[in-house]
Amino acid sequence: MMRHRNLLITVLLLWSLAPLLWQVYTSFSTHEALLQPLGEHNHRWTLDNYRQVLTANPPFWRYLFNSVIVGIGSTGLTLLLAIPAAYSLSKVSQNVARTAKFLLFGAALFPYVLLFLALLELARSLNLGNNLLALSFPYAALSMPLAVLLLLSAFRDLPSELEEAARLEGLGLWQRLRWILIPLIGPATASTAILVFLFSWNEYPIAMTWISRADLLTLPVAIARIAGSSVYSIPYGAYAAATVLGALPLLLLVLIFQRQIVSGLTQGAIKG
Amino acid sequence: MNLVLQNIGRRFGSNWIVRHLDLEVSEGECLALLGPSGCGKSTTLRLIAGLDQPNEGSIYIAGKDVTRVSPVDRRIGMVFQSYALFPHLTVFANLALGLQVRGIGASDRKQRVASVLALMQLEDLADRHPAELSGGQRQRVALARALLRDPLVYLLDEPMSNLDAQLREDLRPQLRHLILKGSQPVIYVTHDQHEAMAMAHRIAVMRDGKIEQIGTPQELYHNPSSLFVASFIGRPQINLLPAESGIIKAIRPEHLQLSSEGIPCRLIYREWLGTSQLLMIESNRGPLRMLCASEIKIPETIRLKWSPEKEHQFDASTGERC
Repeated sequence: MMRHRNLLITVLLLWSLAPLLWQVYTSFSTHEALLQPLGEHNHRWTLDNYRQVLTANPPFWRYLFNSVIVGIGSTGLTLLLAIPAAYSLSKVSQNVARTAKFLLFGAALFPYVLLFLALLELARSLNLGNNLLALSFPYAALSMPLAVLLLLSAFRDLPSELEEAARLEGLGLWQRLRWILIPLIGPATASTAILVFLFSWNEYPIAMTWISRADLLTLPVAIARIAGSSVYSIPYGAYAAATVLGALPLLLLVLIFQRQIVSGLTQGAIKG
Repeated sequence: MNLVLQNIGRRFGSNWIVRHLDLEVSEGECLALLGPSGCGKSTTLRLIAGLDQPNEGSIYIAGKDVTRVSPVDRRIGMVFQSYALFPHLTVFANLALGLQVRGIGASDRKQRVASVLALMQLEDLADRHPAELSGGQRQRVALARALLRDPLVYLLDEPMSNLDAQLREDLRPQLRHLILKGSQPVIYVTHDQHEAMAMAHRIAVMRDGKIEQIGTPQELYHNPSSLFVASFIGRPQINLLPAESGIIKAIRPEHLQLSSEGIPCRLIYREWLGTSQLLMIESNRGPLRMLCASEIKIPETIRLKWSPEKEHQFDASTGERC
């Protein structure tokens, strides 16, 4: 039994990690080694790909920084709006909440790419182009449905007696949120924040169309713009190096908040 | 200080949870709201606390109409069934939070919490979180929070139901000492008739959102006003004889006596309870429960009788006493 489980875990790990390992392998390989993986090479391993990415102008760190700014902006804005929305929805009558949930599910499932031309028009008429923080608006709006749904179930799972006890103790609405409810939904908030951050980190079409100045690009767009030595060669190694560098901050974030995320995602599975 | 409920009604849609409820609890009195689950006792408690609004009627605390007053201004000391301690705060912070919000200075706050912790013998646990406490300790913290509220009314919602039997017995004197010695009215919600009889001066038996009967434990036991109260109060349960010409006769198990002139019966089995024994008996009037001293030897075939003045009579159709 135990051996079967270990085997299964190994297979699953290989299955999910293989693309990542391949990416790392590619990022350290010379162009020749990539084209002829089985051939004999004098120079199989190289740091050139990283050198190319990091010494480009503007430097890679600039894009990383841009993406962090946009990510923090969107995550902050989303939570700022989603927490009060979720709290209110946890208080309204069952019928209203059910309708709202249905609509939110619809919005969460809607393919947002269909919106991006309309969003581009909006950006043009409101003069939001080439503004990093302005990207947070569509990102927060697109993340809202999922964030509200996740936080709503977290609020629902809190025993109502806790808030009632706080009311009897004299805590007003804001104090109850600040001292009791928001701390208690911490795990759900952490996992929601990560999901929003991830979406903003990976988002491509809106970032591509809203930002045109080279020093304001976010990571995905910047990576796509890495140029090869000629039009006919694709710089696989440089792409891979940029992708690995771009994934590092997220990896760090997930490592730090690992426990909160896991407990947040499984919250509601078991009523405590 | 007293608590008065006048013609209280609360409905959800067209369904009345409680209706036409009148209640008066005087200074220092403990009143138990007793009834099966869904009878409206918890709703009544929430209405008094202000956590829910009645659709009709008025509530007075210490002579003041508080029907539209917010929960905090009613000054309620409440112990919830789940204790509702804030899980992310230490015992000290749990107790201090309310004082802080109500504008009590840091040093005063610290002193008041410390004295309540000492009173409840919780000093060593001040830095623990609720998850690190036993059930009895949590209950004491919840009580301490209610005491610190300096309330006009105490509301206890099944405060013992999460504790084991031994602990309940140990905590009852403490609860009585801490709360019932005060001048505040106390409402004690429970579905356990034994606990209601042990703790309360008076018991209000509730059924389907109405008070079926209100009185001292003795009154309810000896003079139940309905079949429902008669069978709800007293364990082992009262014996109900089959209806005869629209009348149901009821007789308590301890009032059955062995007698050669009685009705013929057969002993099915006995439960030995220490000082007494409970006998399950089959008779021509249906099954009977009899409680008697454990020394008495009971043969398999016996004759039982009871004196007519120990008999309760109820109308078979309405369940009311007649």
